[in-house]
Amino acid sequence: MKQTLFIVFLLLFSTLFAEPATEKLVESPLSPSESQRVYEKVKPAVFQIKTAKDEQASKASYGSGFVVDADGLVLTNYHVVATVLQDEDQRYNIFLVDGNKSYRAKIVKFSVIYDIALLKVERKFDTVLTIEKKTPEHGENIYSIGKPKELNMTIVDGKYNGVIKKAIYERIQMSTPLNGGMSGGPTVNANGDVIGINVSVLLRSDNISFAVPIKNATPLLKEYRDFALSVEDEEIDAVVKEQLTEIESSLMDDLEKDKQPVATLGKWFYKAPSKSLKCWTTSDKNTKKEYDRTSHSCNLKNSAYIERGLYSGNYRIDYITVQNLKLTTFQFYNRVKSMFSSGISVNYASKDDFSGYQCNETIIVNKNDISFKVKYCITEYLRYEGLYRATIGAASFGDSEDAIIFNMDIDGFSKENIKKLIKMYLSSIGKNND
Amino acid sequence: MTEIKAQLKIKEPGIGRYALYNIYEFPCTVGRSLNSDVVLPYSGISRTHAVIEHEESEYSIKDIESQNGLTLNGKKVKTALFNKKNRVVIGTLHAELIIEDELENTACRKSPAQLYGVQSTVQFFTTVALYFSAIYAVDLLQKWLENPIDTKEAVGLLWTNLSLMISVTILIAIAGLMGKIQVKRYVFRPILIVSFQVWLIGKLISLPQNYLSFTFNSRTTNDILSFILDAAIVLYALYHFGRQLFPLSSFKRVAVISVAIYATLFSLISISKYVKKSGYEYDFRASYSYPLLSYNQQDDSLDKLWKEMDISFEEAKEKRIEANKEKED
Repeated sequence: MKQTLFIVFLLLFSTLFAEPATEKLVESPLSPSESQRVYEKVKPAVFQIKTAKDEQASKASYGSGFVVDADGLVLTNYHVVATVLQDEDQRYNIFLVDGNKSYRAKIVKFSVIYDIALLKVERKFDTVLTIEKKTPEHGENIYSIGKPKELNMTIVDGKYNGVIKKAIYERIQMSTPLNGGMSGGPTVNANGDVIGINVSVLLRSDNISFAVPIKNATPLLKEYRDFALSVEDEEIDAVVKEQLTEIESSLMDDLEKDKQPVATLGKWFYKAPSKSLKCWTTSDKNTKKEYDRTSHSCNLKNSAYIERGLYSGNYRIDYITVQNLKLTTFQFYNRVKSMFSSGISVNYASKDDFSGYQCNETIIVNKNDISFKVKYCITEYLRYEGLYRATIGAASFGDSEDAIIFNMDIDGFSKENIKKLIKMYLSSIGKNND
Repeated sequence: MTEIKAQLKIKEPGIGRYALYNIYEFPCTVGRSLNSDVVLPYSGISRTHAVIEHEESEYSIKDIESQNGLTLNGKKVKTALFNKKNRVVIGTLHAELIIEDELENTACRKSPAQLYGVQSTVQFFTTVALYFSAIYAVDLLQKWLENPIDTKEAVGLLWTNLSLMISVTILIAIAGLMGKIQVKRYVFRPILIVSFQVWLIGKLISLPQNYLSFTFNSRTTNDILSFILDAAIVLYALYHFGRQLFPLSSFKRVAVISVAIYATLFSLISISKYVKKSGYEYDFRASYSYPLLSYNQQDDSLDKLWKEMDISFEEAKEKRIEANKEKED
């Protein structure tokens, strides 16, 4: 059951299901011979990576990986092999598949920030891929290689479309059509040098996919340990916690540096969310034109995958303003109440990962004299002491013409930083009374 | 105040409760007709059923051509003497006569007929209509406070309350037929009216509940307030129904039984809630409404929020330590 779930998650996370057998006319300006050459050069270093109880057992998860050192060092995505790290019963093993043979592999280093894992395989390799140090040019031809599902080792081509950077999260945006199973495989330039590791596709889009910039993997190659990381919970947990803390620092730094002006929404003003967040605004009146509602929602859109169902290292902010058009005072408050009640739903926190939510409600007045009814829930990560997940909602009251509702979801932050974040946004809310 | 000469104690069939009728003079007619000195509104009693006479030191009862007559110690008779050895049955009712020195206090023991007098049908329906209008008005007010109401909604609300009222009436009638409550207008009507009273009072209490709980800005205070208001309504209902069903029981007894029933129900519900709660289901609710009560603004800066959050952070930490300990075991 767990295995199936993981596969489903993996597929959702990293693939776009290809539409069955529809011919798509795409202009391919690349000469067939270039891709052939690249394939010939690169293919001997790319293999399927799978996790399973043993060689013959069915796969718990699978993807691709590529050789970076003849002694048996292979790079792949963290999410391809994460099962093994989080498996308390220690039943699963990692295998590198070459035709009919499977070779055992162990994780020697990993990063949840960049979704990379470095493996040591019990075998030597002849072909090794080189890492390209220079950043590719926008529009450059690139090729992604990997083994999708149970099909042949595949090469697909596309263009390099720059890097997307949100605080510490960084991804190459490209137009190679990745598919499930190609995660962890290399994306190379026309020379066959690695520029990135295949990681995911943009859902509900056409041919936009992502790779981890290879420069994020280079530190792992420099400092890996000679022996395999043990699967003892505490060691792994300590590494994950360290990386989550790194994410947290980068997000906090990003906020400090961000000199966004104040944002306004109707009569209300507040500190504008950081540019790293993706925001959108929607506005509507209800059908009877009794009130006017506008919402400004912001989301980091990137997080660190820890294990099945568990993502961390991100936060989201929502502002909803409500303006009374023709309701009585009591009726207006009732409207705000239903919006406040529905608001953000607290993410399901499983018993295995969290300590159980501690919730409460209270009334406060911020420095701009706005009164809020505040509700919040807090839970601590079981394995990462000092890291919490918090959800907070605040609805203004005292004005029968205008109200604002503020919601925030903070995941993988320390107690102090959670309070800092909330303070930053909640105390900045104010109203122009012209 | 006329002196009570004697009391006729009637045991109601089935339930085992008693009705006491004061007798001020003899002879005293007994029957279902409203012209009787003692009105016995029970089935099995004829309009003019019997007459109680007092001659010298004897008290006797004589049948006056009633349908079901009198029974003495199991045998049908035309006359019977009231004394300690005799068991007299009028129609289907066991009767006893209590004389001067043993008169019982009738302060709280009234028969349904004595409690509600003789309500004419017109009176009864007017009372019901008044209660219904009050309930509908409160309902309308409650809805209007939340949303603007148009005619269609108002009519819909009227229909909802009407059908609810009819259902309640039918339910009580069925309960009466199934149980041993005599479904007569002297019992059925009062119970119906008490139902409407409880309904109305319940609505009146719950109306401000929302608005009051908003200002008590901690979850615990909110819960306590809800508990008190809910308990008030339920206890009122239980008590009044108890009084109707057992009008001859003492005030204390009915009160104690009501509280006992409420406590049992409450414990059962609380236990089931506690058992179901795993602590991983979040409770992300907060009360919000027009602030009916003003609140004390002095301590309400963001510092208060940090204080409260710190407590929650500590609680989360304790839960984490607990959970991790459990895992190790």
